[in-house]
Amino acid sequence: MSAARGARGAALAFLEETGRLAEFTRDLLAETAAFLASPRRSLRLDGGVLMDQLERIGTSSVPVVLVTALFTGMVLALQAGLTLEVKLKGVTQFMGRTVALPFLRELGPVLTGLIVAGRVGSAIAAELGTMAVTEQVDALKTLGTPPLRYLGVPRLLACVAMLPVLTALADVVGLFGGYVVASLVLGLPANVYWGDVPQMVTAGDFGSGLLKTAVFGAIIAVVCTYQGFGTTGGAEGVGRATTRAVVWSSILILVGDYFLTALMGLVL
Amino acid sequence: MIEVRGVHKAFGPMRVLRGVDLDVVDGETLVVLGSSGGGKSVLLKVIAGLLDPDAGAVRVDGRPRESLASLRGAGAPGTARFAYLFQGAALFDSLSVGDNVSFALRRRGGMDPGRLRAVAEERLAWVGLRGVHDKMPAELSGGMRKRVGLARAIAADPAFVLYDEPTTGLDPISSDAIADLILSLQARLGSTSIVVTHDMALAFKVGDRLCLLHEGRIHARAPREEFRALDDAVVQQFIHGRAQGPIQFL
Ligand SMILES: Nc1ncnc2c1ncn2[C@@H]1O[C@H](COP(=O)(O)OP(=O)(O)OP(=O)(O)O)[C@@H](O)[C@H]1O
Ligand SMILES: [Mg+2]
Repeated sequence: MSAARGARGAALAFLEETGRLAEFTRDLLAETAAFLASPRRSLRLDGGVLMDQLERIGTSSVPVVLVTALFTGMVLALQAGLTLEVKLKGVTQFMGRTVALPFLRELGPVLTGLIVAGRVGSAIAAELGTMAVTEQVDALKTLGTPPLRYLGVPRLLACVAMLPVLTALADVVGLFGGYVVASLVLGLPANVYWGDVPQMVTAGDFGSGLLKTAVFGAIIAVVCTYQGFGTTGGAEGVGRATTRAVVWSSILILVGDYFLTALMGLVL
Repeated sequence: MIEVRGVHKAFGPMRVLRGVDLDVVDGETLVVLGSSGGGKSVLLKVIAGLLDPDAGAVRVDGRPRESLASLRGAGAPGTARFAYLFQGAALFDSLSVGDNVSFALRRRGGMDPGRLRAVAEERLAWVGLRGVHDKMPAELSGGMRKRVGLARAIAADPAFVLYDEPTTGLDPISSDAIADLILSLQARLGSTSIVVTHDMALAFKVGDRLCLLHEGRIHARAPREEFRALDDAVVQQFIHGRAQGPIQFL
């Protein structure tokens, strides 16, 4: 009886929260559209803030993304090598596609999304959360600057712009990692590995991955700015908001990945 | 002119404001006294539009004041005329002191960097700070941060200034300098001010009128000299800072 009521309360709270997130998303997208359509003067005004975010979200994530991609490509090649050689008795000429297909379509985009969610999303939530609890967000309003425009829009644009770039880099490095293992560990000649890639892999495989990560970027920015702006309750609240931001953006990336893939399967 | 009418504000079960009525006429400085946790900061935020009241209304120059409660709100230029000194200063800690002070002017546009710097230096000098323009807020003491917050609030020549405890954390000499500053700003800008404070010296120096927020309402209000002499146990307890009396210290 009371368990049922508890479940009902939790469901209602969840729906309410979802509604608030939807409303926030709508507002943030509307502000972003207004920003992109706004006159040059205002673009110049916020240009510096945007550049700063591109740098913080993009450039500084490069090392960790590349290391992750390199080793993922390497382990993929190692696994593929073991399977193709031992279990399938020496069809190692298919190494190239065996690394490239899953990497370009899934691993590159999803891993990059998850890494950026952890690295950048947590920073966004913590920074905005601190600003919220120390009244800096209120201060912005009293100084005539809408917080969503000044803090939200640059982060959304930077995430959407930089995730595909990071993913493209990850793809290149991941395939290279696969090649290193294929040639050094398994002794596969370069032309066999690289020659096999274009046999099976199309520009669409590469492009669909990049398209997905643009959406992942939007998910990270929306969820993490939402959690940041909604922070209450001091330092502990900032910690809670940061955790929620990373957990929810990671979950939504994985769930979104499935449905985006299904959708693109229908369309393409 | 600011008119506060029947304002109620609760947070969950806690009814902080329970029907506040208040008028602030143009050019005057109104001091709001009240015990800690009594809702003075909440009242200032309702007046500035940062919080929407549950009931009642705030009118500025006869029109409903604009709500800044949403993240998109921040007022068209010309309507954002409330300068707000936050209790905790609320400096942007990713920006230098100078960029904090000139923030509103920079966002408004039309001033070159040299001019912005000159204005920021000038306002910092008004609050008694020199040589801090290029420092970061984290490098300042609490009292200095408070003064930078004040310099930032008044940088854009506001018509209304809301001060939340402008002298808390300052030594008596700096406090008196802030009191002088509030007076000179009022003379210079002709601004209308509300000052929330526990500092009796400040209250009686800058306040044209004083009022006491008690149990969610304006318990008493009077011009300065009359307020001091009010025959009211709560007011007298407050002015003389006694723990015994009608206000219970928990
Ligand atoms: N955003 C909020 N959410 C929940 N409760 C709040 C919020 N803001 C204020 N309160 C509560 O409202 C009450 C009044 O707070 P307020 O900050 O206005 O007090 P104050 O009179 O300014 O006190 P002080 O002199 O110590 O600054 C407090 O009990 C506080 O806990
Ligand atoms: Mg207060």
